[in-house]
Amino acid sequence: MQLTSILLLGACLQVTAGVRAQTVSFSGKDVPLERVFVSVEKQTGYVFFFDEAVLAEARPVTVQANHMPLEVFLNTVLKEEGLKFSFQGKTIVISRRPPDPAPAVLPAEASPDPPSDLHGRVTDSAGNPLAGASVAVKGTNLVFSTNDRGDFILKGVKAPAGLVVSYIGFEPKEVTLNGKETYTIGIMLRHNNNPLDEVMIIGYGTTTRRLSTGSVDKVSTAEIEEQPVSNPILALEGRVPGLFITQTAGYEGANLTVSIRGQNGFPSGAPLYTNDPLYVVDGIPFGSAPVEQSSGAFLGAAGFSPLNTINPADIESISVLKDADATAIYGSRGANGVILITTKKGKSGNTKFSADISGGNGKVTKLMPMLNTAQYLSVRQQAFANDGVTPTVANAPDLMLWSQTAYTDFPKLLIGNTAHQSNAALSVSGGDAFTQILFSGSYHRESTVFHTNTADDIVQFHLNLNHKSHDNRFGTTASVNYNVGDNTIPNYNLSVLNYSLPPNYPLYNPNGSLYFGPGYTNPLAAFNSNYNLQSTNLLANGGFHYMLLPGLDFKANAGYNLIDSKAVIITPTSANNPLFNYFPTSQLGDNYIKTYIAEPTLDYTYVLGKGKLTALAGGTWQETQYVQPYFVLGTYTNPELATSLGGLNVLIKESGYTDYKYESGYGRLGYEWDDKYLISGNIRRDGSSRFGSDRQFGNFGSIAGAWVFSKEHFSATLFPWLSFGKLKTSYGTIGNDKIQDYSFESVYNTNGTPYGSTVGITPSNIANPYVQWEVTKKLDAAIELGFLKDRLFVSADLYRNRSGNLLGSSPLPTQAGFSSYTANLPALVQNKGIELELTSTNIKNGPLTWSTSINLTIPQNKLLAFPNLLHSPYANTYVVGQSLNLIRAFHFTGFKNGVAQVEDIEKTGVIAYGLAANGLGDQIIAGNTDPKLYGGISNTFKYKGFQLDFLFQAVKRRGFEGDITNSVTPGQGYDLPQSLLKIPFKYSATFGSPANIGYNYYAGSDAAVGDASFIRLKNVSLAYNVPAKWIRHLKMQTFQAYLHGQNLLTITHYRGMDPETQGLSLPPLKMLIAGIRTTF
Amino acid sequence: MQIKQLKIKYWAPGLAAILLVTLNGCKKLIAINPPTTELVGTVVYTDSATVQTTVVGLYSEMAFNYAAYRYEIATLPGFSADELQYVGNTYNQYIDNGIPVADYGVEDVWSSSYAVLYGVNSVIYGVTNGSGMSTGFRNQAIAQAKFLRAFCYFYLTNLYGAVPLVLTTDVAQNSVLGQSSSAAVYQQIIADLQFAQSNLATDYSASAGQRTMANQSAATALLARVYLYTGDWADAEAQATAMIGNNALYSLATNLATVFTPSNNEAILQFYNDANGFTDYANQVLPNAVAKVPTYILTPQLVNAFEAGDNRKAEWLDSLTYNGTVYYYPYKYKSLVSGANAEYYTLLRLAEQYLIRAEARAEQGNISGAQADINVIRNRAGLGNTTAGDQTSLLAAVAQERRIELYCEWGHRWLDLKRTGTANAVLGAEKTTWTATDVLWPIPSAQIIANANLVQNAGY
Repeated sequence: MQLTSILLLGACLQVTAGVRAQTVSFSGKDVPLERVFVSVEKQTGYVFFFDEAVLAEARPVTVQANHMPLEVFLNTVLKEEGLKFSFQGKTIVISRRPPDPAPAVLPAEASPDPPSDLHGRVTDSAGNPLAGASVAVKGTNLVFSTNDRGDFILKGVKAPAGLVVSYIGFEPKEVTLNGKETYTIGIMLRHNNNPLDEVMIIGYGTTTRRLSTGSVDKVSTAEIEEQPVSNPILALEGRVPGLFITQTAGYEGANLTVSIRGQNGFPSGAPLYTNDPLYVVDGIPFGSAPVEQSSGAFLGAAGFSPLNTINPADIESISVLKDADATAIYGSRGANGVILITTKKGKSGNTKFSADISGGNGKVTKLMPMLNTAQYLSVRQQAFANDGVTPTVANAPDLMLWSQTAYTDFPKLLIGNTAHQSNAALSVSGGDAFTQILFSGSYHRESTVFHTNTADDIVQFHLNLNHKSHDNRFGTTASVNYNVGDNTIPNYNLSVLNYSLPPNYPLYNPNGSLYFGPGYTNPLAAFNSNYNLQSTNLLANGGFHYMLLPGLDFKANAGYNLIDSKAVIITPTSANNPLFNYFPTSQLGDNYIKTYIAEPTLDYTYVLGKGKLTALAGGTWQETQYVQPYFVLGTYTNPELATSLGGLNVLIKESGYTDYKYESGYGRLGYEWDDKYLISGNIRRDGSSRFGSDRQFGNFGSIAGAWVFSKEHFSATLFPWLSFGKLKTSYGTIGNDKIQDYSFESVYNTNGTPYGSTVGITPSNIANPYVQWEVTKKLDAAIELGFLKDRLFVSADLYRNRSGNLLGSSPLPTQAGFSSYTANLPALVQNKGIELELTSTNIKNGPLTWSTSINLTIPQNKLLAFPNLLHSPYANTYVVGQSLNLIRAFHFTGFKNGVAQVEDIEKTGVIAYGLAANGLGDQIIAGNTDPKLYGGISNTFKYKGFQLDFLFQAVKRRGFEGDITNSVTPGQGYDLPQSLLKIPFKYSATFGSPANIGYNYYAGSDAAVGDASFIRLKNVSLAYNVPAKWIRHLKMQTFQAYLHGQNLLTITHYRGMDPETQGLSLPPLKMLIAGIRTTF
Repeated sequence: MQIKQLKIKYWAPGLAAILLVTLNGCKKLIAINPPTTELVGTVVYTDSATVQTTVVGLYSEMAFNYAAYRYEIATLPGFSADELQYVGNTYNQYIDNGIPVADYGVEDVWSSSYAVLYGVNSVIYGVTNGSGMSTGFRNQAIAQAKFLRAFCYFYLTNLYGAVPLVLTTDVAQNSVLGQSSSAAVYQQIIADLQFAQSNLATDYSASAGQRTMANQSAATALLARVYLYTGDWADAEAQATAMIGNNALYSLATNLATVFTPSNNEAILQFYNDANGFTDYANQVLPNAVAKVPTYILTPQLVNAFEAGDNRKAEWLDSLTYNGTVYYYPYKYKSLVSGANAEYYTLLRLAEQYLIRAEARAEQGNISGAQADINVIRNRAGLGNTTAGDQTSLLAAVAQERRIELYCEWGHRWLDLKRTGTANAVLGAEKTTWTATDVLWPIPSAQIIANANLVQNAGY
């Protein structure tokens, strides 16, 4: 049978002589031909392309070659086999040599005896085979997919026929078979550099921006890598519309507040009920609640984010899923949106090592400038004069006792240090077409800006393995992440009583011990406590898939996550004011969270006419256990035994355990017609152990549709300037079960202290067997437009989420036994908003490229209804028709002789706290703290080896001015922010004086509410890639030197320390890191 | 590789089957482990050993968890009356009888009491409907719960007047329950105490000989007080007599220093200490040993009310001098020594029974009997016999003796002034801020917000 090759190549065919002039060396006796090919592939980078049947007949060869030109070598080896070769790009095509010498490449006349099955291979432009590409036969239901070598066989296809070859991330290609083909077809697909076709990970699958029906945003590894953060979620700040992230504090490991499209429910204080999205790492749900307080209290230490245990360098991409269509597949767990984290996988090819080493420093972004000693003392003297009080040693040690010239800048002393960061990461990856491996390890250390030099040390390992069978029907994958953290950074924030100490406060006694003034506490004492959190995080998952039939895949995945934290806080007597009788105490706690998940799915793809039908059916089973083996608080006498249970006189001891199980059955049906009309629907039935036995299950679903109207004929006529246009909409219902475990049944607990010799038990809750699913209804509509061949891409998203049947702690009169119980609140909360995105490649020609990406979100939060609000403890917190985050404030009417006056709205003659809108007092609604808009602008410049990226983050919102709310009345014995001198307060040193009362009203009035908006240069990254020729002799493939900066510049009118954290938490740090990255 | 053309008949049934199974949901897959560090209510009341821990739990919560029952019911009414003052502004609202409706202490005593009552009602309901217990055990457990229910309601109705009478654990019903009159509450208290009296053990076997759980006598002693408060003089006398006559278990301590020591013969009911080994009350009211700054101090009226030669002044009062001023502070409880367990917080003691009987006898015209009982208390304090010889002066003598003997214990002074109708006269004379409606604390405003059926007390 005669075989000829024809290659239908999208790219040029010619192969330069220079490349072909490569040489190979190989020596061997009776070596199978395949092994020879493998060796050649390794030495030259060429890929062999052959029909396995052809090679099966080949005999082993004996060859001796030393730096033999490639063509000569191939001729030598193949001659005896009756085979010939030809170059096609980076591919060497092996075929049977015709009996007669014939032209090497060009087709001959049609064969008299054409084979019924056509063979082919799909490759990318570099000749790498594309596994899993689909080859659809036009006008039939037939669709074939390529195996791991990129090969396909058109079984039973008779020419003439048209093929549509497509692969995600590549431009699809149409191929016409004219019936004359009797050979192997090579089809080369062009890489699609259009961001519209970049792969996006969604729930249980992938899609592209072009074809997605849901609202999904993706942040890639490149954007994450250039940010010197230890918590990968921080790398998303300012990059994703609809995602609002607030750092609670600037120290490493601090917890984050993350909300996707607003706050859906009431924050009720229960540890599990938050507005947090669902985090999924490689398919495993990942708890975001601070570990050390996961079950049972850990006094004092709150807020170590477990997400800090995920190494940003191991992340391939992060997808943010927002609307019903995208999140429905995660069911109840995804009601607040989903953040999907996908870690890196091994890649086939030569074994590649990479190393990344960096180090740098950080400082607090801004310290509040305080009065100096002279200014402060003059305010104090004026205050005493105003009050007509004579300062004495007892009531004014700052004036009468201490040095009148000493000066300490307390904010600088307490949080003004330099934090140091150092990172080292090594990874190795490699493998062949069937098996790939990636192994990486990293070390990260970051110290703080606190007075004491404490640090967080993290060691991380990541291992990923992939394997596929030769026939591509079976595949298996496994990955393991292991993280060990040792954090000694205390959960320390400033307090008004330490950063605003009189600037002449003497910190030390003459003998060197800490000085405690009358009524003052020495702020350095707190640093005598020892804080240590040791955490480990093991994340392991594995799975397999098996193709039952073409288009029908069965997959099973299972995962395990163990986050363990051991926390110790030792508070010696020296950490407290010696005037009070504090015992040295020690708190020891051990907590872990275990999550198991198993997910079988059945995936089906079917080409129907011009369309593609995809169906997914699956199930999820998840179990999460929160276990606290012990928590103890006790006094110790011997500091050496402070962490020994034997050395403690235990005052409080506790342990905790909760078990949560979740199951779900779901189906997704999608249909894409000609990449033009897209519809998708989800249905699911979720079961949760958090509800009583007859309320455990809930049914939810979503439907979405999209229309790529730019593919319509009229589009080319009407909007010739439009390269892409899509309209999409989705609607769905999603449940939520984020409540305490066991709240549906009555539970007894012990207070831990034996009464005599018996430990008693008491009810710890009121059971509510009627509690049921909270439901959020999500509506989304969007338009996406591409211009100038998609170089300019714009999208606008409108969303409206309504949450009802809110789960939370429903308040009770305490006569019922408890102040609340878990129940569904009748309130209805709405979040709606607009999200805008623009990406543009401004300059593409020549060595310079410049691209810009802008995102902007305009959200609105509103309590739509709350029956019986006035008879609930929320009466002073919420008002129907207002945001959940409303600002309750008095109305400031002016100063009278320096005494602030506020309006007596209810005309009772008394200024009363309470919401006037609900008839409860004199406080008005002075706006809300929701962001009015937020977004980011990022720019990327590339010029030869240089790349510069920078991201500006912008937030417009209101808040209480930090200088006012975090100060005492001017004139009392504490220092003031400089900015307060500009407000005409009458100074007063006396508690209860009109000026003192007036200041307190002022601090809680609309006059103290200001603009907390900011624009922040969130990230700057400058990298230089050393040209390959310079480093080749060092056997390096790439070498990059980089500078990364975080929070370098903040533009704001906010008068506190930082507009993001507000309050007195440590502001986010300004970080500058320099490093090198190389692969070899 | 061979790829077959798709055939619907192969996969469709399989897909349908998976969908059916998963969408139907399987309850077994989400059956969770019970909380291993807690007990599920349904298994608590199935054996007597566990039930015993629920009864102990009631005491443990009162003794260790709720400030109301650790010291507040002693200190806050002390401010409201004329016993206690505080250095600092913290308790001015009590001292000036101008308690805001949202006051923390008023809320705390209310809510803590109802939290205890929820536990009490859970035990009563659980034991009544439970299994694995003998009838005798059942009745003893219920009697313990009912004793504590009576104890809590006694303070609730005395401090707040009409209060919701919650007797079940039904949240729907209890959360909308309105107030019951003080008389109705007393009726329930008496019924509960009578049940407790007939079902509790006569000795302290339930608490291994320590006087830290109620026995029959505790019920009798509280019943005597309740009859006194309700003006049932004959029954008050009878119950007090039963107590005083129980010489096998009870006798007055001859040494005033031992009145509050663990399980002494004067004690009828006490709470254990927590792991600290001293009473929380002492920790609260005693000035700091190092700082030596006064906090809880006695009013001059109280200090001056001690007669000359009263040993109780020497033994139960202490003072410190700060900035040249002498401050007296309560010193009935003295120990702050870690682990010493030198004292237990005492709820009921025999001395009160003498004074109950004295008052009941005086009210019934039994002059000599009343004198005898007063003299027992006076003589122990090193004082001579009372000079009171008629009913009026005897009642005044009883009131004076109660004021001194029971000062700063469980709000006796405040409750006595109110029940004898003398609060207006006495406190009105002492405090310019006093108004007649101050005899009742306000119903906590948060509770009125949460339950629209609650009615605020007059004057708030």
